[in-house]
Amino acid sequence: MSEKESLQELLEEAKASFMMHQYSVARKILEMVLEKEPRNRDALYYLAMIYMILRDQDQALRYLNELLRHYPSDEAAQKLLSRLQRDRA
Amino acid sequence: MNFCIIGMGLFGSYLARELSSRGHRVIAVDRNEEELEKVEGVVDDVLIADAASEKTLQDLGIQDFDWVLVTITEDLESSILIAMLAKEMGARRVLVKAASELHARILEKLGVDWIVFPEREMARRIAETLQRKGPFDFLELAPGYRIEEIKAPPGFSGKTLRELDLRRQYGISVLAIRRYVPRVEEDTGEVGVEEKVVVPGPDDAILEGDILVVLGSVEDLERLRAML
Repeated sequence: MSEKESLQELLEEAKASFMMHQYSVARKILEMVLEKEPRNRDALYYLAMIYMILRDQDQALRYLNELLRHYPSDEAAQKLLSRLQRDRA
Repeated sequence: MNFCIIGMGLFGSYLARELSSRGHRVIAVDRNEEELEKVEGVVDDVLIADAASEKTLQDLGIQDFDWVLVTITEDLESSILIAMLAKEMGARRVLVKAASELHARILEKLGVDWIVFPEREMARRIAETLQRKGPFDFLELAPGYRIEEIKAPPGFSGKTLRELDLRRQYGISVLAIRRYVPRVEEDTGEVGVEEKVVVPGPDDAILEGDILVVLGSVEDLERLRAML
């Protein structure tokens, strides 16, 4: 299995854990993905959502800003950012 | 509920507006016509009268109200007299706004059901809100009892309310849970999050990041908050 395929597999596992509310499990997997590929869009996005769910808005913002730095036109990230900013207000 | 509010100063008129807007029946009483103009058309009825008289209270049918709220503080004699007469005449529950500690002590001796110091209460509430880490708020139900929002302690995650048995262990009830949940957008298929309010049953489990809306005594809530 190529590295790309193995990353994709990890991401799928993280997303499934996320949907099943197993946020700690998903977070660990996503951190592993980011170690291998620091600019991975999905890993950054899902980590931002996880920290938002865990009410750690600073961390959520950190991952979102990082994502938008690399992918400035990412609509889902922009939407999540405005939601986060609205909830922080 | 039926409320009779005596004294239409700032506090009294705010109370009258708030209670009326929540659908309660409110009668406003003041000896000053100008003060009553502030709530005319907002409350169900207004009465220009000196409430520090047995006849006025009798005419009002003071015993028929669920609450009699005495908000006068510039005339302590009237405040005390109205409170005493209302209690003697069988008013169900009497709340009085106190102007000083001495005033409060007299009211206590008269058997007043709820003595409030609004400015002091508000100052305490603001100070408590400011000193907390999160933007949690609370609602005082009665002296010493609150509905409060508390972040679920880490040890609660994955356990059901039945397993946690919070009523027995901490003396608190979980009324609702504020929770972020994953959501798939219908149009784009993109995964996002949305906040939901869950009214939990005994078999509902607490999840990481949940905000619990709980009811309990100030001491019990403090004990729970110490776990955070």
